[in-house]
Amino acid sequence: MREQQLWGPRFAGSPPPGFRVAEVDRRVDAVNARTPAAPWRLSTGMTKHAVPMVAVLLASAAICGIVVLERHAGSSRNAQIRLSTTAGDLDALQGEPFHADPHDPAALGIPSAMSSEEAEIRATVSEFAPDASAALAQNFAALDRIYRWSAGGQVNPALGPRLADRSEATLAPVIVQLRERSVRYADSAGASALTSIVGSISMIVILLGGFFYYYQRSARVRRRERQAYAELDVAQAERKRLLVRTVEAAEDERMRIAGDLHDGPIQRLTAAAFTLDLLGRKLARGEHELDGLVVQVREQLSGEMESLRRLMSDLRPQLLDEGDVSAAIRDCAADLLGSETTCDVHDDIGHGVLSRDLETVVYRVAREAISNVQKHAHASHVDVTLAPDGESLRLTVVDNGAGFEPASAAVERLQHHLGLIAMQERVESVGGEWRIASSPGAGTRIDAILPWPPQASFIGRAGSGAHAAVA
Amino acid sequence: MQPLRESDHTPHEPVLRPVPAVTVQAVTRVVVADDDEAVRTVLSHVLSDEGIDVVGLACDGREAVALALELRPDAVLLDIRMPHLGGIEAAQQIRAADPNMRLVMLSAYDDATLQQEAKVVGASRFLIKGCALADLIDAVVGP
Repeated sequence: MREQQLWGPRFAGSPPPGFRVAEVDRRVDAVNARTPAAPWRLSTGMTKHAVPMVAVLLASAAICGIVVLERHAGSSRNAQIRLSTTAGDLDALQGEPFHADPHDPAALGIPSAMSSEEAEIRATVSEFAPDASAALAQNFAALDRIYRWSAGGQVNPALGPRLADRSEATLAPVIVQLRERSVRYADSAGASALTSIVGSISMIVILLGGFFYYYQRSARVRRRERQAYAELDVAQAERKRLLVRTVEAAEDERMRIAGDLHDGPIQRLTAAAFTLDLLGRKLARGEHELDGLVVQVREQLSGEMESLRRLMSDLRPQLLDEGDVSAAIRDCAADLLGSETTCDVHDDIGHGVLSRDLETVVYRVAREAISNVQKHAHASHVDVTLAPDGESLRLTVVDNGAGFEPASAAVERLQHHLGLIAMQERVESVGGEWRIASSPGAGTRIDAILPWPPQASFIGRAGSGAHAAVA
Repeated sequence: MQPLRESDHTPHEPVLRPVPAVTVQAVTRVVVADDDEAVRTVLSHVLSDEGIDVVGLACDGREAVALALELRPDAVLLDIRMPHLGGIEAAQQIRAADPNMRLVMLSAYDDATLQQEAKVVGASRFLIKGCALADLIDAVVGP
């Protein structure tokens, strides 16, 4: 037997008997539960902005670092220049003045520039090589004496070379020290500049990365928003369709009941009323052979009571209200199938263990399936089984009738005709699963797997294992 | 009084034995149209009991029109809601063919719009199912 899930437009066929708004509400809740979080929740969180904010903070820190590094590099370069210049000046002063012509003070080249250069040299040496300050002071003092001597014409020719030797001995370490410091400052300035360049590049990379992430994240959020809106639209459309269908189903149900009342009670009672009128007229004429008319009225009224009883039972079987769904199915089978088809109802769940809604679904699905058997299957036997299946309840209706081809071209029309869509919708309305398996000549099997809360899933209640045959 | 003419589609209608007229002087020939067999049967009985000659029974509007045009009765008793062709439409077709035939509408619906429609198509009377037998007789026999 081939099994196929039959899908089709929901509620496209006739409304399921006893269609109720509560079932629609459950379906709408299920749709809403499947709908993702509202779009505004996706777009207002700080997550989207966190990364670019961190990038901006890091870039700001990098800018501060670069500024500091640039300042340090500048000061290092200045120090290096001052040290280098001072070292050169000292190198120039080292010996030259002492070997110049002592009778030509101008050749010394000192007096005119000495005041400013000396102060600068002293300041630089004092800042960067304080240890050499004393030796430098001695040297400047010697130079000053030479100047004053030269200016006074008191020159000792032997003094120049001697002072030159002493100056060289004094200033050479200072010059070396200044040049070493100059090299270190030059290295420091280079390192700071290099670090500054690397920091600038890093800052640019961080900023670009942050904004790229922001753009990507925003695009993803926009995609999710569009998807959420689309799903909301679907859910809204589904809700609207179900509400419309609910109204239609209620109206259809009223029309069906009105039609039943018109075709049944009104006609029978009309006939009974006219028959009673006829009876009265005959009595008035003194006729006495009226037993036939009396029997006729009685039969009309009995037929009408039976018709009303059926209508009442169709609307809501009394056994269902008493919680005995298997008995209600049994009565329904006896009523629908007549004597040509036997029906076994196997009840493994017991009496009064199902919720009212679940009982209604079980009864309506079983009734629709049995009705299909009576109308179309030409079966000699039907088995209806109601049994626990894990945390579910399984209703199975199997007949040995003609069956049909679920994949045939006319399957959709057939689904509507047989009320299969209505059955499927009813089962799905409580979160269940509905299946049909059939093939020509091999009968039909319908399974409805309905969610059954674990606390209610027990076996062995009163009435469990009931098994009755209807012929 | 002519024998009852039944529709070809209602072969199992009981053969009626009309009671001789005692209250109606001029025999009136009537076709009864109703889709409910019990109502048709009872109407036939009660009208016959009053001496009215039920010459035809129809179970839908089409048959009612066919019998009316073929048998030319004095009156046609028409149910409103019938398969294939409703009573209003049937009355319209009969009236178009015979302006003098009495058309009595009989309906389960006490609906002002239906009554107006029946009047528009030329129905003589509009009766609600469950009305008194005397009203029915008056409507069929006429003034």
